[in-house]
Amino acid sequence: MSILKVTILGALLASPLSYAGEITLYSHRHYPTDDQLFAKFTERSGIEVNIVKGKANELMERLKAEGEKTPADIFITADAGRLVRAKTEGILQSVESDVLTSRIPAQMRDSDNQWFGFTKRARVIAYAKDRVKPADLSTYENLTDEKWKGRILVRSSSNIYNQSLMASLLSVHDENAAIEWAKGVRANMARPPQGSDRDQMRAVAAGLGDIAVVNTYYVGLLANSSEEKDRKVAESIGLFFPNQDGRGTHINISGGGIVKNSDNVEGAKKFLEFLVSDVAQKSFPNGSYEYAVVPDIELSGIQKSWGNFKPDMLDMAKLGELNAKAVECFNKAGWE
Amino acid sequence: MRLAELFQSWRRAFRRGGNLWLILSLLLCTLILIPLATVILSIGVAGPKWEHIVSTVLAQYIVNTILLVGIVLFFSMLMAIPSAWLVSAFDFPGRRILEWALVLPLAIPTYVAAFVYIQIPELSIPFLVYVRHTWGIEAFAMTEVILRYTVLALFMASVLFPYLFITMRASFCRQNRSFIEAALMLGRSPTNVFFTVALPMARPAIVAGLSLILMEVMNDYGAVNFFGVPTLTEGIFRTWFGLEDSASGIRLAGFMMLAILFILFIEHLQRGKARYTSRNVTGMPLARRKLKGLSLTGAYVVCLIPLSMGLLFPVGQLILWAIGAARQSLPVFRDWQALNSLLMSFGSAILLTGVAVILAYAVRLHPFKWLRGMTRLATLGYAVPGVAVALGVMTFTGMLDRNINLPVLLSGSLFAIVFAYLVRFIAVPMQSVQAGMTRVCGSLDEASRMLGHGPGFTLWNINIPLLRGTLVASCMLVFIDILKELPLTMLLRPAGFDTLAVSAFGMAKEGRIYECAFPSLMIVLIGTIGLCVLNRLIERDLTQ
Amino acid sequence: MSLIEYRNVEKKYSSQGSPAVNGVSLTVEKGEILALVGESGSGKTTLLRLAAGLEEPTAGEILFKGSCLAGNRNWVPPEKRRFGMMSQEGALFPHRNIESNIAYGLQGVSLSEKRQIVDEMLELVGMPSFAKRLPHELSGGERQRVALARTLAPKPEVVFLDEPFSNLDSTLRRELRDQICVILKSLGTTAILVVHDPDDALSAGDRIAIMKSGSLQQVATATKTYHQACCEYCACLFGPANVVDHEDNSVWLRPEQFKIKKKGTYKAKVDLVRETGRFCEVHVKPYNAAAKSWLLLEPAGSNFKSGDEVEIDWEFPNI
Repeated sequence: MSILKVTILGALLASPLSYAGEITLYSHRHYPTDDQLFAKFTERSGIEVNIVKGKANELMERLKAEGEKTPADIFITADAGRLVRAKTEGILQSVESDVLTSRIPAQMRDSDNQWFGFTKRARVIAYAKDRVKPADLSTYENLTDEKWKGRILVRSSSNIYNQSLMASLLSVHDENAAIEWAKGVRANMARPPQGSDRDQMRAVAAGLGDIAVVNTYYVGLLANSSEEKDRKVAESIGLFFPNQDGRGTHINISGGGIVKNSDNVEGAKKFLEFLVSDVAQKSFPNGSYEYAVVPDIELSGIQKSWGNFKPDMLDMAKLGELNAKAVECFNKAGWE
Repeated sequence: MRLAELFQSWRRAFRRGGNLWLILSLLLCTLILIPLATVILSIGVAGPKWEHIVSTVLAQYIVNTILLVGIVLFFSMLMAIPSAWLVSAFDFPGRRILEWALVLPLAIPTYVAAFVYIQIPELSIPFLVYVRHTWGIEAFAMTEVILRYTVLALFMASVLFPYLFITMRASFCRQNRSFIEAALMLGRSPTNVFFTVALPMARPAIVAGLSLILMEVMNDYGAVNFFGVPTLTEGIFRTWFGLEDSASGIRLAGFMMLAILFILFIEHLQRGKARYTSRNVTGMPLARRKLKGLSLTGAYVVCLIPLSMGLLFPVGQLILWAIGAARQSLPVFRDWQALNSLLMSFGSAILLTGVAVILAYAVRLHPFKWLRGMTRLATLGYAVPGVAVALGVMTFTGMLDRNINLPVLLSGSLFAIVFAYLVRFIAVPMQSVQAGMTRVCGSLDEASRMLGHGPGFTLWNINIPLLRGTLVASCMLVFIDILKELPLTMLLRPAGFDTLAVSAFGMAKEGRIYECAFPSLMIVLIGTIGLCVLNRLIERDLTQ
Repeated sequence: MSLIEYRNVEKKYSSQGSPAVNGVSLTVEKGEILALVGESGSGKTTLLRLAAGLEEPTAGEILFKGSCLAGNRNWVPPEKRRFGMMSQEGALFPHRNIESNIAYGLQGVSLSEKRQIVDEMLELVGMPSFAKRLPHELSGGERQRVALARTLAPKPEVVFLDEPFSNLDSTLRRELRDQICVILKSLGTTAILVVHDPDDALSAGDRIAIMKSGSLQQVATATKTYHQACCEYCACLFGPANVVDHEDNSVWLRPEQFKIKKKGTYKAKVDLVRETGRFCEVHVKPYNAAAKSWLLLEPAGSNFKSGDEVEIDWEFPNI
């Protein structure tokens, strides 16, 4: 009896399948400015946007479990590695869109058009202006140098941005060298890895360490924080783009693709195209302080203050392929 | 039991009458056991990265888990036992308020406490810098680790100690005063009596309370993640998502589940003994002594330290943040739809209590070992990490969705998440309903049967009215548990369905502390109201 | 035809342990009160619960008026058997008042009839003004009376009374016991009564069934049970008994049957003398009998001392 009731209740309450005027995002991004951007999309296209926020991995598990009946139309992550994994898991589908392929540089999108980047961010070195000369900084590889002993602050290896950085190193060095690098950095850390990128910068400002490895947009977020404390932190640190004389600074993308079992491919495509439109692309540098993927979009004020940089032109797909290996290297090196 | 006997017993069970209850409970048990079985069976499967995990990070996960559990249990005992003894054995102004308030830290989830307490390691950076300059990097690193672990363990203990406080208070109140009086008459001082009589007699209560805390700590995901202490639960996440090895991830969950089961088994043995020793204890409760002077001050200190750590400080900070948000005219709260989750939590709580009544009643009607064993197995979800339950449920609903053509999707529906709550939390109402039935109903339902009424009529007219208090209490307990639940909810919540917990954690993780204050406060407030109701019921129970 | 018949009934609670009831065959006749006695754990309550339908036999059958209630693939659930059961603590529903407790078992009866029956029942147990009270406001004896009223209200043909007065003190117990017997007899209700106290069994039971570790030892009338015990266990259950050899058999006789005489068959030495007020208990060691010691009841104030040599005779009771 009550089993039956439960089933019926479950059936009644189960999420409705999306209809034509509606798309559902499974998104790892949770920036308040995204919501405003999506509202703009709804205003223009008349298509409602539902968002399920969650961690990329969890959302991916859910997509796999839901299979054909998923309500999701678009899967969005804040890194390339997960997009590649989504592709290999067969979660995404190819999209033919001239808008997307013409506007997004080739290494920022999938070769089979299954996923597309729409913002990029660089993983840089933030340093204490009063204690570190930028001239002492050079490359990621250089972070293992004796002179940084007890001065580096960086978050845990479970963080995807670190994993991507490691993957980019693995694309140019062999595994042993990568492990040695991780061991070297770990040995130079001021404290065991912990906290967020923001926390690393706060610790630098407080004098706990002298340099921190962080994503660019976190600096922007700190500098524009509502808290005076945080703005002071941002003032006291400088940004250094490593490997400018070599392959360039490691970058990663935020991106998305259309879910294979989407029942509103057209709407989803419109949405992706909207994300690379000038309106959206211009909003990212000012809203979430990310870089636009479309070339020649104007930088925001704070980004200008950091200066131009040469990005690592590595194919984003590589980051995904090397991700698991990167985690292994961290584990072997003892970087928690 | 041999197969033939089992079959005999089955046949007998079905002839006993009340078959509806039997079939229903068997169905429910099976349903609940499927996701758990998925986890246990997965122990046999080693994923591709298993060797790698064992040779590199596993030891660290295990050491961290044991260390954290150990320290939290230690601190919990320091906080719970003296305060429980004071409010049970002594009388002083404000005792009743304290007795009641010391339960309230339970309303604060560990991850909410983490948002607040993460400030301590942050604020102590100048001190750490000083250590570094004075004693060098080694001393600094050690201080940093010790500080972080201590703060983590301290605040976890300060919000989890009420589990122990509740069991200890119940134990002290139910202890026959003649034992204590006998000891006093033999010339022992009250302190001495506490250590030689009251405490040893309360040992089963200590074990019961500690095992609850242990499970909470092992299950915790938010706080350890915030404090950068990778425990086994964190390890499951990392293996599953970082190493992309789901098989090894579930395997870890399986081993963790076995470890907790082993601990619970020991607890069970303890409890068995306890029943034996306290069977005939139905004497008068302790006469409370008045406290004066220095010992009165001492009593306040002992009670107020855990209270302020577990309740006053976090709540105060959250309120300040909420005010800060208002002052900066930030939207105090964006996800108003998260309030819908209250309705869902409440509905789930009622459903779970209902299921518990069915299972407990079936066991009462059919006192067979295998049925009892099966329902006991079905309550093991409490020992399974929320992540593992979520993964088990996900696999199950995914399978149903792919193979059976239902008009709607089960995965990602409310059904899936409510079902997962059922698997994870059924132990909570089960325990109280079962205990309540034995204690309150005694032979009353048999009397009803002898007066010519069937099992259904009896349940509705005798058991349920008698258990009303217990049912409300267990409903409240489950409600609070579901409201606080984080990892499972994060994995399974339906599209666009944010709960307060998910909303709060997401914002805190992004460092939007002002905005996480409101949903956190909501959780705490609702939890507090629930606990107050619960507390009244427990109190009524103790004084009866 | 017997009203209730146990046929080789066995009940095991666990597959390994010894059975709680072991091959019991017993009949209960219409209108009689059968008292079940035995030490605690001897299976008497289980035997009662088996007939009530609260336990299921693992072997054997239980019949009511010749039709099978349990065993041999039959099973009638307790609520369909229409028997009454009254337990040690009364089991009054604490959330219902006395009236609704008594009316609880009345089914298919109109409201006015219910009222009438409840009033009758309260009258019967001598508590006419208690209808609106709650169980916890009653004394132990009153509660048991209400429990009896509730049990009898549906007019069951058979009632089971499981130690119904063992929670009461002795005066009240005797009063309630006699009252219950009178009521049961006046209604002609058949009853099986489990009692702990031998006095209760002897005075309340038409017949007495003695159980020991799951088996029936003896079923007989009160006089027979008291005076012609079949074994030491049965004999000692009802007070002190002295064993004597009679025609190659051991026979248990009550101290009342023994007399100290000037000239007797047995010679004995007084071991211990104790004045109890009513009697003078004299423990003796006989020289020429198999028994080690006997207990004799001499009139109070008899002047025996330990070490005295006495002569003793006994006779069978005249029944």
